[in-house]
Amino acid sequence: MTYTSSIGIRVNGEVVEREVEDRLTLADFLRNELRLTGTHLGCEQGSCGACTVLVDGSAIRSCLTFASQLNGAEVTTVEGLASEEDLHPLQSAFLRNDALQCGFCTPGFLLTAAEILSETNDLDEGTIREAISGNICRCTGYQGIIDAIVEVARSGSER
Amino acid sequence: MKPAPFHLETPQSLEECVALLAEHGDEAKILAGGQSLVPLMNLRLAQPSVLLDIGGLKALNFVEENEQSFRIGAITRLRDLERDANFAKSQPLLAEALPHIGHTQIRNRTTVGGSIAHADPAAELPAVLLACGGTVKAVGPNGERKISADNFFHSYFSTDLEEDEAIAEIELPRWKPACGWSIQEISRRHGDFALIGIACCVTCDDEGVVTDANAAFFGVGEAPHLVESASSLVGTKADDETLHQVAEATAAELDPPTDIHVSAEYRKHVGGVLARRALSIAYQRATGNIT
Amino acid sequence: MKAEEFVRGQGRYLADLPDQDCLHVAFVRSPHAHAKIGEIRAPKSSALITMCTGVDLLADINPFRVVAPGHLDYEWYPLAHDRALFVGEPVAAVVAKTPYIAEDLAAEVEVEYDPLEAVTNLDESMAGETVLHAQLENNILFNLSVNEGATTDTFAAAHLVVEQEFEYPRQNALPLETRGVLARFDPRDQRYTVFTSTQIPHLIRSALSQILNVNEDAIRVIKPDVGGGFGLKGQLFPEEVVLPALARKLGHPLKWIEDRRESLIAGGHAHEERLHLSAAFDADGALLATKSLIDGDSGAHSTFPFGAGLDPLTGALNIFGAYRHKTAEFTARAFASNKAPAVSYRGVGQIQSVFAVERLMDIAADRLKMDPAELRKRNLYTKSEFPVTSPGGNEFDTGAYRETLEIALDRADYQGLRREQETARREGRLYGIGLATFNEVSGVSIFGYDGASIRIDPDGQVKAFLSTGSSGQGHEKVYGRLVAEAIGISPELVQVLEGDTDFCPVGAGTYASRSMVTTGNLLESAARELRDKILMIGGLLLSPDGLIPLEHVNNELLIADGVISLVRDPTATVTFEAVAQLAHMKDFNFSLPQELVQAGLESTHYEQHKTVYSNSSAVAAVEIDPETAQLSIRRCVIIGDCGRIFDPPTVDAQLVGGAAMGLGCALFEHLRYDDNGQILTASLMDYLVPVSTDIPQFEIGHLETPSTFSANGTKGMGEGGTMAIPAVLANAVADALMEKGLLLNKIPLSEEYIFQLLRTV
Repeated sequence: MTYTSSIGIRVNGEVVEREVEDRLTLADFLRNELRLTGTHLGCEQGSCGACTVLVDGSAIRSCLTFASQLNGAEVTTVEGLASEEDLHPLQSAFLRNDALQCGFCTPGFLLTAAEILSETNDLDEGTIREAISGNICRCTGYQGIIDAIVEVARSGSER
Repeated sequence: MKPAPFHLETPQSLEECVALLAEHGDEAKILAGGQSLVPLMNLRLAQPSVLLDIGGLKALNFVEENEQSFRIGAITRLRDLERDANFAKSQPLLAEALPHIGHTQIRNRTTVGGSIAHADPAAELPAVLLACGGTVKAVGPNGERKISADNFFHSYFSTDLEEDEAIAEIELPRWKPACGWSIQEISRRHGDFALIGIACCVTCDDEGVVTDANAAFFGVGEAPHLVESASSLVGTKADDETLHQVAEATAAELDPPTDIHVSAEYRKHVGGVLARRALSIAYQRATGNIT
Repeated sequence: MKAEEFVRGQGRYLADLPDQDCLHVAFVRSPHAHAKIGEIRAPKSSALITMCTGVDLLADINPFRVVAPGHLDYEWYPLAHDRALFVGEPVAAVVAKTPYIAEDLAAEVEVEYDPLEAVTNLDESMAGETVLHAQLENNILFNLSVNEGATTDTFAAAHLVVEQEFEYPRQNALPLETRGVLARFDPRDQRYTVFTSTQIPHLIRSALSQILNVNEDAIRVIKPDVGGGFGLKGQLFPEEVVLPALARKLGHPLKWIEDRRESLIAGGHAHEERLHLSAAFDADGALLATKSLIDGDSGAHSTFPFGAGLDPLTGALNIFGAYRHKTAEFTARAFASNKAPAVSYRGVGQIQSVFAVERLMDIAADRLKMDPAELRKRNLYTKSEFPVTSPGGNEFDTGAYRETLEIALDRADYQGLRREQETARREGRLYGIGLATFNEVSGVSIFGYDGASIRIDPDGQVKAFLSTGSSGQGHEKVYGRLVAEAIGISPELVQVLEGDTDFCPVGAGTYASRSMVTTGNLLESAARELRDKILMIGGLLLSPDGLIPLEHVNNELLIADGVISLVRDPTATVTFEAVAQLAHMKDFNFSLPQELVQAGLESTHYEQHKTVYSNSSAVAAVEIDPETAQLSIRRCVIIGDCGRIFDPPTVDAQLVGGAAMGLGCALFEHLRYDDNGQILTASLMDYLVPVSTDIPQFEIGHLETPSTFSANGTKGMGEGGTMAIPAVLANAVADALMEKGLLLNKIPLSEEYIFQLLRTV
């Protein structure tokens, strides 16, 4: 027996209406139904943070949330950060600070950082370390990621 | 790692949720924040055929303080408590526990009721509830009942809740100005479940003599555990000698398990150390020596 | 630019490939460590498209043997068909419309198992009461001894002999992207296309051609963007065989994405070893001879291409490599057990041997009553001694080992740290300082040749094709710059293409810190050759004398920023694009004198590179809470010497990132099994890797002692940071624990282990 629900959500500003299987995770909904493959799955256990997206402005793990729960929600994925021409300040800072190597964890870090910066620019390195401790990066040792977030916080280019 | 099929229902009230629980029996699970349940479902260690999503029940999302008590609605999310500047003043022990719980993305979803109902013996919130002398308000087919924290947590992931009951709110005593607090834990990494931890409250009179001391451990066995050893602080000024004795008594009292991360021996020893450190901080806060 | 694609979420990793026409595969895996497989019953469900068991697959594949020197080979099959040899070994595959349904069905497959005695550790494997592979007489998968007995006399006459056994745990490289395969078979061309998240596309193709019994030409292996490899993706896995075989049989493209649980139980374990080391010293602390026995627990299978001997042999061949001594003997062995097969993981073989050797050096310093830094300085090769041939026969071209250590000591203010330690000890605090210094084998080319090819199109677009493949090391950026600088054009014109066996030169792929040393050099040679040709054609257009002979083009012509000019008359210029055009197509005014200059702009170079050795030194200071055994890292300095540095930010990033990974190895990473061979660490709640709050600020630096074996002077640099950390932190913790620390002989340095050491009487 397949159970489905009708949902209407906004993804990166666009209204999406779909009939989804109840058990479909938000991550698989974004990746498979909407072909927004920038949201990556690293563990499906809520441990690695690669699948982090914003739901109503809050960074959440999209592997631990079902699309069927989110009727009426506003979702932002990595694809929604930049415009066609301009990168989001965090994306530019990640490039400048060697904050990525293989790039697999990057979207999750960007969205985690976007939420932090949406609340305050008053961030020191220790606060940032703690705030991103739910995301795993196996390549960089985190230093570049922290430097990039510090840079954006200092420039105050994110409110 | 995809969950087995289930049917998502969205009850519009807790009463409806309880009725659905009664209808589906152990086939149904309540879905609140999902941060404990969904990993188990993805691993197929839990395969409920019905999920009752109460995440949208606004009536259960509140923080209310009156002259007797402090109440938190079951689906109040931890991150909302964290962002509430007044909360740390109203309930400093619970507030201090929050940053230890998972990570920001987890706390954005985790609900107070979900964490209490899940009853992971290594989790912070059940121990905080126990140390504060809180109660759980449950709703079932026959109406409400209140269960004190020391009767609520039975064993690993098992509570006093009946199959057809759901948590409506938790209630904590109003915080007394003369009450100091501390939460101390050892985890392998920041945000991991504690290998062992302690949440405690110490109350003093004007002379700095302890009138009440409660300490609840987490990560020490099948349920959060209120240690008797803390009570020997009562009537003292928590001097080094007394704290040392409490540490030894605590280590002797604990009967923790060995797991892949640490041994029972470690937990016993460090339990004593944490008791001494946490009670000392709580005492100093109670006497106003530190904030 | 690759990195910009990644920050935009436009990377195309395996799971992101177009798959609308694919069916999905899920594997049924053994829940037993060792069991005879009986009947396998498919679920009676209309959703099941097909099920394939190990027996079913026998008709479609050849058995495969992992043949390498010192290895005992046996027939390997991707799906177990008579016995399952570890928890997680695939025994059947099911195919369905979605991954969700495939997983539902896999759970419903009924397999009859007859459990057998499981071999779960080295001692049981050595005892050999249960032999895993019927074709072998015992559980030894690899066995090699070198210079047996050569050190006996030296040891007998030595002033001091130190001897110690060390244990290194089983670990998982844990790239954040799990493995995955998407396989297509085109019946018209009779060709397979296998997308796989791998470090070694050509070696996969060679193996598949044998197993699937077709020519290499009938298989195209493509590596999409790879979300981290770290060695784990450097071997052939069963799923890489099953998917193409089944895609052909079913006439349908198939996709499988490994989940994290599968990855932790069956996706490649590594590093587990027991090392027994002895070292002989004279009264002044000079190292005279070493003797090493390294036994690896290789799990159930010898994996292609490196085989079960990979870790023990790599460690043994290079053990004590940084220290001057006359004689060395070693034995390296690998034993089979009912655990997941061992594969490579950054720091292969050496992360263990460096840990053990560096511990042994500290134990020796204690016995000799010498400062550990002094003992090391006494024995490290100094710059003027090179070239050096090690007692094991390795040739080290250049190096400055002692100098690297001195820089690290200086940077860390070693004497200052020792003074801080004195103060701390007076206050009853446990403060320790550790050192580690070693050389690192890199650029290894045991499978023959690597290739690099450049093709310039008529419009001046440059494509570089390589046999190596990036999994996050930034080849696109570095190689793009390398080609652009070597030719004298803008990097924007250069596209770097790797990981497609239809287009890229044959070669062994990326592992063992080899890319810059192998294809980096070849690419530069190819680019220089094309530059000369471009100058020559430019000369034909610019020079009044016509043709300038090849040997003079670099004296008489210049190319910079894509403009070619005459040295003697800088006003005479022609653009790179114009030359590219004329190299391919004549116009009304010009055609190439074909007897002198061949048309086209293409160059391909192949070579087997000599192994090169980089080196590193690290200094760490730590403090331990004596009551809770918690470890705090106060300082961690790492100085590397990887020869010439071509791209400093990339080298820094590898060093720091590698060190973070080494920190995971040192403190957390430990795959555990119970006595029945059940794995206890099947989730990221139990197998722990470092997060941001665990990492100290690494203080890094470099020395540049160019290699003379590699034309560009580079040496490999991907693993020094990783290898340094377990050793340097173990020594720092041991130092903090004082006499109790002398017992420290294993990692991870968990709270529990430090607590147990603190409690020893």
